[in-house]
Amino acid sequence: MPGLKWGIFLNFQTMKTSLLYGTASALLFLSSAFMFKAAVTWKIDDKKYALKFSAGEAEGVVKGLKGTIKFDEADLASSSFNVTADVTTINTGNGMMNKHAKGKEWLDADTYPTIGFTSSSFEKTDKGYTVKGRLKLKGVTKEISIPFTFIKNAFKGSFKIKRKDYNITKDGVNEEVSIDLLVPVKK
Amino acid sequence: MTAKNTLLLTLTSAVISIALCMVYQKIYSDQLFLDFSSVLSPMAVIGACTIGALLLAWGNFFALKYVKKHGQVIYNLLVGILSFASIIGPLAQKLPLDVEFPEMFPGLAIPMHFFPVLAHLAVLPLFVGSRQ
Repeated sequence: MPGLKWGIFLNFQTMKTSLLYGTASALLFLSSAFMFKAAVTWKIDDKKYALKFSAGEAEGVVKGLKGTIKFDEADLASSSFNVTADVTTINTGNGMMNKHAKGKEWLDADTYPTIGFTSSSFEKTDKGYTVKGRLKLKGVTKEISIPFTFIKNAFKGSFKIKRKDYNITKDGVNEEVSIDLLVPVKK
Repeated sequence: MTAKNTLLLTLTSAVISIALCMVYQKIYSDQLFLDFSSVLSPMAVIGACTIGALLLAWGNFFALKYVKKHGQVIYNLLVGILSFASIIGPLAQKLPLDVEFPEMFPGLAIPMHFFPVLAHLAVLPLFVGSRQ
């Protein structure tokens, strides 16, 4: 029966074609899957990080840093910082100054217990990198840029802010506040 | 008050104030689980108490020598006021940033500022002769 033979042959051809297309699709899928490499997620080394601020005679540190740090030097587009620091941990080395710093006229720690930073973009520069993002301090959110380096699994950066931009208007310290960051991380 | 008595007064009040400071520091640290030894080491306490005792004793010597009328009373009032004024030091002091609970430091240091003058005034009658 030639019709039946032809039918069987056609079915076989169809099956072979389907199998071929299916295999090609699977190979394409597998190869594409390996292209989606996520940025490395880093854990903050709780014992070694330092967040220091300085505004003339007033200087100190803030602790309680936590959040998500994703960073890949080869893939800045998928990197992100989303971190907060605990304002109530502020330490200037003097008990009375600490109390003032946490008070309503300064950082108002009862109402705004954290300082947060969320990145929006990263850029490679001659000296390292620059991250742009939103800094939230005392209820005010502003776009800032932080130049930093990433050497031996440690982020190191410095930037300055004007405290009056964040409703910290009481006189007594410099208008400009320098902030120095050192955040060692591990995988 | 002779120079010899002044030196003996220095040594006696220094030993007493050092002992008081050490005991107080031990009780304060143990009860509150705090450690300020990096800021207030035993050697610093010994040095400060010794210098305090020296200044108090020799100040007393010169006060009795040159202020004939009520010299002792005037001197006692003066050292009391100066000891009280000296508590500004611990209140204003900035500790290293790695020291935790800096607000608890004045509670340790301020009483220690009174121990030298307390020791001095307590043993002074033993060294001020009847000739004075």
